[in-house]
Amino acid sequence: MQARTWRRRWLAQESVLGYGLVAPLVVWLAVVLFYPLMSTIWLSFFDRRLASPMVKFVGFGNYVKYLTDPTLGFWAALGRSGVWTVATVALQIAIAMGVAVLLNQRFRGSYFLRSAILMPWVIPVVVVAVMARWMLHTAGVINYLLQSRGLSPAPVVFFSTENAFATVLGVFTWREFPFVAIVLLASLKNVPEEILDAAVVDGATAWQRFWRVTLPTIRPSVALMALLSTFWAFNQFPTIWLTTEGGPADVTTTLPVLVYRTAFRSMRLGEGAALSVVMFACLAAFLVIYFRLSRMLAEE
Amino acid sequence: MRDASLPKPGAVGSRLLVYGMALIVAVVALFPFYWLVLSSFRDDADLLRAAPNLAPVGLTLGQYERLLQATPFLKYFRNSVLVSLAATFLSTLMAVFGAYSLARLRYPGRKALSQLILLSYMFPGVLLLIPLYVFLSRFGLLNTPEGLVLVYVTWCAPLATWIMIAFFESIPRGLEEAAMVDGATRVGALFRVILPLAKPGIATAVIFGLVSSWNEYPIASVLLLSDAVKTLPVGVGGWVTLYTVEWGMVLSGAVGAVAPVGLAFALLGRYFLSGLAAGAIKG
Repeated sequence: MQARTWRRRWLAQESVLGYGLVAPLVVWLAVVLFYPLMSTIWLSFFDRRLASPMVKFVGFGNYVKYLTDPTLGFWAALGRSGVWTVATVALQIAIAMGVAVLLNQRFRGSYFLRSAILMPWVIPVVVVAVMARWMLHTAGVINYLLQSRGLSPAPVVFFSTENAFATVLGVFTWREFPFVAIVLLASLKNVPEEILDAAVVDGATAWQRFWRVTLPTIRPSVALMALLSTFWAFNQFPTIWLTTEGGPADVTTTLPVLVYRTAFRSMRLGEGAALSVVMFACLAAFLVIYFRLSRMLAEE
Repeated sequence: MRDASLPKPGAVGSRLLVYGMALIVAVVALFPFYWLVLSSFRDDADLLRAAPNLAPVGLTLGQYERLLQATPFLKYFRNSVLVSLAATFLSTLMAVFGAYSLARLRYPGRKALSQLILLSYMFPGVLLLIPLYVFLSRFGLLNTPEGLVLVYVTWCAPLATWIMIAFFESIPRGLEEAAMVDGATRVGALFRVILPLAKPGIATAVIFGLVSSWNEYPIASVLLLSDAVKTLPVGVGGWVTLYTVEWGMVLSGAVGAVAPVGLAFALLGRYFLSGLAAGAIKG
């Protein structure tokens, strides 16, 4: 066969096959993901209620309502989302880094621990919520331990208006850090031994080796995990909802919780849609800033 | 690749520190599980006692009897199994072929398509709840397992595609060409050469799909409203109201919800880890 026709047939075959194989996936995503997302924007211009046929066009009314009326709780929720995200990501990275370094050491049971530690991350959120509410109950096992060891004079009310935010933050961090730790562990194993050994020969302490050799090498992984964790934290809904439903008195109502509650408890789909769009805009803005920043840092 | 050496190899102090830290980490991560399971084997009177007993004594199967006989738990369980299997099967199928196309074939728009698909992985779940509710109710798919599977496939497919792309990229290029030179068609090369090599990747994608579908709560809570079709997370979630909670039922239900995942993880944990590690290195 002529080389040219063979090559042409090959390329044509490749394109047809390529489009054909990826078509089901693309079509499915287009219909069940992208189309609904577009329709959210459309929906946000209406006053539409759950379980009611009434639909009324309001233009930007929903947006104006939530952005200008502080009693509706949008700005408070946004602020809480911000604090929530920053706090949990910082905690997750710090704890995961320590755990990864620990798991990187050689000791009996380290392999078992590497698998076991993922348990909080793989289980349904419902179970996490049940665990949290059961253990942190005023008459629960944690309070029992605190009191019997004399660490606290009175039972700690973990879900009070003062403590609930920190409590749920802790629960979420407990659930999420194992994944970050495992990823960081994998990248720790890629740190070249020769450089570490050379540093030992040069008399560097463990801390110096960590700070000057290990950390810079794994920086891309840390940056990636920080970005992913930020997304997951900002978007997080089930953990908060199943433990506190955003309460008490709205103290744990972050933006996703507000969206869900507006749409499915207050029955206002149109307003919920508008809040979703605003939430998405915040995420997009964050992404833009992040990429601008990382490009600037890369040019240093 | 050997593990990092300790600051002073062999020093008793630092060995103790490592084991101490490891113990703390293990307790923090695993004690809640122990406590959950232990509590589920206690009867109602024991559960309400002020001073809980940390040791595994006074165990009874009473809560589980009640769970299986007097609640829709088994129905929830069955629904979760069916939905997870169906969603995972469909999404893995599309992901494997789609990822092969995106990773190994060349055609215009390929780069953009793969970025688009990966982008959908980053989407906040909450954003989808409202439009999906409207969308499915328009087609009469609300409160049906079919509607849920429809959504779950969209939920699982991007991640499965990402995993498969990473695996396909790690298979040496030129294997297909070699097979084709030997007379196979492209499709034949795909089925006979590439797919068998990608089995670990497919296993990882399947595991992630099953676990994600099994665990999912927000979408199911919005789309499923009656006991006959509810999945486990929604069913058990419904028992945990903010007010008086029937703890015996909830605890045993939670253990029932977590047992399959825990079991699968104990048996197949290495696939999880290798899948994650592969993803991390590519990332």
